[in-house]
Amino acid sequence: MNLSLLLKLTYKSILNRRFTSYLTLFSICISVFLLLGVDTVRKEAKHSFTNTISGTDLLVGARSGSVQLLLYSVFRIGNATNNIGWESYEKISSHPSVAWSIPISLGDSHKGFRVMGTTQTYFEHYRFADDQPLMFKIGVKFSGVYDTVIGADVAENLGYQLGDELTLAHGIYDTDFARHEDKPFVLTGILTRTGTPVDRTIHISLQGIEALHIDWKTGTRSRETVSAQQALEQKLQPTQITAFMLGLNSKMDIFRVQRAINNYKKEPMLAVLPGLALGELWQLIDVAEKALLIIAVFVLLNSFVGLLTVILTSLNERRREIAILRSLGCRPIQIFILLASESLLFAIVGCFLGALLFLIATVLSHSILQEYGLHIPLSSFGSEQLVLIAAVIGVSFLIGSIPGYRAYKQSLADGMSIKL
Amino acid sequence: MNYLRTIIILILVISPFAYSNEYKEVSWDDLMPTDWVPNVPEDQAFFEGETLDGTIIELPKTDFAPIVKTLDTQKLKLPGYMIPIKFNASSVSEFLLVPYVGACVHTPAPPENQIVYVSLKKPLVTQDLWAPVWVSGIMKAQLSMTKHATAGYYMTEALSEVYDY
Repeated sequence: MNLSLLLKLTYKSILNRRFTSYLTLFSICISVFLLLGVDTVRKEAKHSFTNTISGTDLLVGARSGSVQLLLYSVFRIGNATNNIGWESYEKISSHPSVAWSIPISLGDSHKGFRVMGTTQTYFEHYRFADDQPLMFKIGVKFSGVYDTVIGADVAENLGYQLGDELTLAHGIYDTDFARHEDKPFVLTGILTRTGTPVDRTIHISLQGIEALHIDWKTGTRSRETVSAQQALEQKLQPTQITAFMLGLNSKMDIFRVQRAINNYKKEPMLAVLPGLALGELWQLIDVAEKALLIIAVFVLLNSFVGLLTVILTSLNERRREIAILRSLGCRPIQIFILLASESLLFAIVGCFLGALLFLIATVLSHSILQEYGLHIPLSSFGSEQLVLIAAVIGVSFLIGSIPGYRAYKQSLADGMSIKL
Repeated sequence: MNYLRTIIILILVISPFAYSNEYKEVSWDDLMPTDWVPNVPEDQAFFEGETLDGTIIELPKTDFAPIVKTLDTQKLKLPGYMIPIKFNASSVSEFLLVPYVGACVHTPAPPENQIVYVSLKKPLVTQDLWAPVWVSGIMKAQLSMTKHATAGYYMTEALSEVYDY
């Protein structure tokens, strides 16, 4: 009896037990999908977080925690604890050790996208993913008070073109009753996609932020509003910012400058090294990440146990079938192959379906994940995932050899004599 | 058979020495000039501060810590912790090597002669940024302060491996 005949027999036998087979296949498919999904999200999340900031030596904000500062100033997750004074920013950024600085002012939004006030230095010095600078897909940097530059996702989701007017909202939730509608902003540029939170940010000048809030100095909108034109005539000198990024002339000075900022007597501030803050963030996330992966592995193990149960149960039913095969001249090793190949077949088809499901889900969930600043490219299905799948198939073969071994051991007579 | 065993043992015994001959293992103390006494800076701040009651205090400028000139161009190997400068999700390619981590809040930052700027030939793949590492490479002791570089220790094209306890 050759191998193809054995496989055909396996196939026919599975078809004969269609219903349980489909269920087993379904459970393997789902657990492979889960394992692939958890592993990918885990890796890509880390990748996309790390890619967001590059080349910045120090991140400075109001005194809080290093992880929190990193989250709100760079990833736009959560809110700032406090602002810092413009005077402190000017003093620190004019120090001879400092090569460049990017001020950041947060707090407003537009249709679910955060608005960030900054200066033109942002477009020159901000770097992401291994020192890549920001590029313009179309248009130029903002120059006027009411100019704005948007990220790729903002442009795509809201369908904005150059020259369009945007109405920004006070606070981070865009509602009708808190809009700055009297001061529309004009779109002057769209950035190319970066795969970072920059894609989801609307950039305006610090003067623009000041102009927006000229009517809100009391905490609510004044009854007598200042028009956009009148605002331009006023002094739009920013008095406070949320955070700033620093690039130093020499990396050797990082600790010195960091300590100087942390010890600055005039205002409590916090300076962190982005690399260290990210490391702390990983330590934090690591536990949850590992727990997720462990759960996924256990779900997979569980479906293997299910597979084993199904095959072992069928083994009892198939005693006669096996005995007949043996009496027809089938060798014990062939019986072993017959049963082991069954679980292998389940695993291969299950893995294939699971991977297919994973790819479909990646495409479908693209926009949802992007909202969290996660960017999962299709290319993320690579060699590491294939190794995972190979491992799954390998384990399934080991598991399949258990019923295989049992059938191998069962004597011919065992199946022939019917016990009543 | 005994003959072979002797050879193997000999190789095992000699090879670490052969290795350390290539890169001289140094300690962090060796990076400080022997006649230099680290002073306790009153406050290493760059900026003159203003206390809460409005009095302005001028902070004394501390001197830059001197470095050991003779270490220049030597092939050295030393252990330490990485403060990542250039990195991605799984590897680090440039970092500041320091003798300790985590204590920066309680004490002043390490003096300049206790920091080595390292750029690696091949990025070190590591999941644990906090694990100590061995770094070996040619030391460059930059003596003069320029606009773009502070005096200090630099190691380029260095090799790095995770420290084995």
